[in-house]
Amino acid sequence: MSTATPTAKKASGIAGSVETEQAAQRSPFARFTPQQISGAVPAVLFVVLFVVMISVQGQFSSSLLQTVLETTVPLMLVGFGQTLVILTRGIDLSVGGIFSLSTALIATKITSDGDMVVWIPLVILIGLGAGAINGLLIVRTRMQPFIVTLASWSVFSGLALLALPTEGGSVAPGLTSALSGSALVPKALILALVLVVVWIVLRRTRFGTAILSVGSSEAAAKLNDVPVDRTKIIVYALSGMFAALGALYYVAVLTFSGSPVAGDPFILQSVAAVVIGGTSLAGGRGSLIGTILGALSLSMIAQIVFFSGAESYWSQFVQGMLILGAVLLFAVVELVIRRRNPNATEEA
Amino acid sequence: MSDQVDPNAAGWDLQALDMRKSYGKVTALADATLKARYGEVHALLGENGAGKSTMCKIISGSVRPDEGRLLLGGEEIRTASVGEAMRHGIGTVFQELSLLPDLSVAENMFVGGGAPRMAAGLVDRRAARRRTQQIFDELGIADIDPRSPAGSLPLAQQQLVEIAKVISRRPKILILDEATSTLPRQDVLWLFDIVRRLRDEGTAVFLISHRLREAFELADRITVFRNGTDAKTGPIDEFTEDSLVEAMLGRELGGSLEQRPPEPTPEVRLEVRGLSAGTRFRDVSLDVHKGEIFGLAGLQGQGQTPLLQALYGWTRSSGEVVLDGKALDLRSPRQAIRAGIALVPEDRRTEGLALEMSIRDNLTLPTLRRHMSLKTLISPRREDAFAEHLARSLSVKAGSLEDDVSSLSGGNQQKVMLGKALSAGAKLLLFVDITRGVDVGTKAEIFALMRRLAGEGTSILFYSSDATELVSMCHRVAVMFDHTIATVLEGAALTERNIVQASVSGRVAATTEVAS
Repeated sequence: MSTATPTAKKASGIAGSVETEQAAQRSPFARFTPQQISGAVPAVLFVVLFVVMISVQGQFSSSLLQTVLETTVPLMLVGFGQTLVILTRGIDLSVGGIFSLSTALIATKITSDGDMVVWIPLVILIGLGAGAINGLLIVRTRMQPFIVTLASWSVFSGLALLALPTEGGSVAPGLTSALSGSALVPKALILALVLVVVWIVLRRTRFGTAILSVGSSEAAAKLNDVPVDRTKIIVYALSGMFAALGALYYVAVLTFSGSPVAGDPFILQSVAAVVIGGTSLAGGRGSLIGTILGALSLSMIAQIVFFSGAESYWSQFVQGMLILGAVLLFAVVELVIRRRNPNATEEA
Repeated sequence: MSDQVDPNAAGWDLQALDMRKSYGKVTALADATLKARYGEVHALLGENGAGKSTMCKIISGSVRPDEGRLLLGGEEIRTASVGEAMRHGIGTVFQELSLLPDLSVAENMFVGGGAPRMAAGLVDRRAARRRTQQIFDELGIADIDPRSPAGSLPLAQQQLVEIAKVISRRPKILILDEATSTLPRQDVLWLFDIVRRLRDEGTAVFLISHRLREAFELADRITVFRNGTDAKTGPIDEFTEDSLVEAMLGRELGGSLEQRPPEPTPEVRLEVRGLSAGTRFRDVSLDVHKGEIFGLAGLQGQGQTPLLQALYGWTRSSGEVVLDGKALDLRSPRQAIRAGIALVPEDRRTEGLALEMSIRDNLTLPTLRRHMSLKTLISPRREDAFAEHLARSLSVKAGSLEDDVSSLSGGNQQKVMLGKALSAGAKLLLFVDITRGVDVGTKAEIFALMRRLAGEGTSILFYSSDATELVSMCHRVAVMFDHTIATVLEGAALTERNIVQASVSGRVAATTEVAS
């Protein structure tokens, strides 16, 4: 196939130039892709909140940075899994149950350094397996992810209570010293950067494309020979694994003991971080980097409220407003994009 | 079934034998056979729901047959997935676009595999973009940025990407399932050039199209499907246009595609003065009479759809709109509906139908208020009676009105759309290219309905990308060029040639021009 007919070239040329000409006139966002716009919003939000936090506290200290990062790492980890799931147009409510179950196991089984060799991999595997069960149920029964993971959240929470009926237990000191503090830079920062790198690599694999394809249009993904079912199962399995990893960090660095309900706040927080981060709940579009910025933004709000001396319930209020604001903003962006790129349905 | 008379009956390269497929109670294929040879273009024709699309989906691996065998070069193969079919060299341009809207054009080109990779096995995006551009250049596709999200392109360009994607994999068997229905004529000719070249290189091509002309332009062999089976097959020169249509319908057409609508009354129903909407269209003025079918023509993207949407209160506009002497301030579809305006959109799947609801519920949705008992509860009895009446008068082909609308064929979905618009009792109907991708039989029914409605005094603004049907159906046709009405054709000046000429140049040479 080498020669092109001049008519065809001209034909597409006519349609093409009209479109771009209109686009240029229609919107100030015309030069940006939707991905760029939804990526810029969480970044701007992050910078604004960061500046506010510094000014409220009066000074910048590396210990503040470390505190914010350390308190956010569990949410970043859970949010990673949640991002993958939401990109496939699903949702994982069971992360709370898996997280709780993991903290219970960690606080009862990993109490001395010697337990780590067996139980750290085991906890991660249990998270992976629990998530895979979600995925299998969703794929095989064609039930809604919302319902399946709501039910399994309850099941895993029950198991957590079975393993650790009340708050308590302890964690091996070796695990704490391995994950907390800072070597040259805060270890939490390194972890966050590792997550970003994992995401960038993942995005360029066939699996990464498959995730976006499934969320973008399941039917079209099938027609393109994308393994839809397998992708979904893996995504839920990974979400379970990241919940377990989050729990590991949470117990080792933040609480030093387990709780059978520790994971529950992470259910909605992780969804919130994903949404603020610009990932579309309709699937197919978004980024983990946005989720990390979203998670950090949520933590910084808590810090700002704390430093300004207001009662702590204000932080929930502000976080809620932020989520609403973010959703609203992305809806507006979506509208602008549609105006700019009218499909044949709008602009024949 | 009927290849005995064919002198080259032996030596088929692809054979789909005795295929059967049912969806619930609806039989899509009842014992159909299709044979093809490398280096031939094979056109599949038939009404919607005749089974040609199902047959292609079976060959392409996206649908599994209930019974039947698929032979490639004499050996039985299984195409249980699109991927497996692809590995056998079968590539399909699907009717429902298989592009992933959120992925970039370049990512879409390689989502099924074949993406350029870096040393570590990761996708090399820059190389993928370059390779995409290269494929586009080779095929002569201009002005599509490999980086833009596929969903942001106009439908016609999406179709070009889809075609390029499939062809770039060099299939031995190429299936074009309604690949031309969204394309402007120039791009259809472009595609046909490529298809001829592929055929000469030894590719077997299946072409599904509702445009008979395209079959005669391109095909070497034709198979006509009817009622889920292959009704007639043979080399192209055994067919004439008339014999094809008769084979498709199983009866004579009775000239209903050609029949003129009754003359309109002199009363003016719709007056539009100086209507503009940003850059989409500007300074549009027109009058539509009571009982008139007024056509809108022109190249794609000249503002036809936004104009109709503006009259439906869906796109914001400025200017004067007067309906039956009353000035309208159209800010929402609800206001338009109340004023007696109904719109039948182009994309019935996303704009007009609640796909997961039953046919009955879709038909009665706009008029629910009328089927209430005590003004609050829906009366199933009244609803049923109303829906059945509508479905019968439109001859919707369905197993049961309880079935999901999504189970209907495209043409029948379009009829449900029409039913919805009609049931609200509209005085002015806005049709947005509703006959695109609709088979001859359904088209004839839709046209008959349009004539009946016009005879009853309903006015119709009819945008169509098919100049032939505008000429046969409309009293007057406005050609849009450069985002405004360039000329209005009527009487002897209303010819296919003039429409096409005005579409590309904005004027008509040496014929009478009549402005409204």
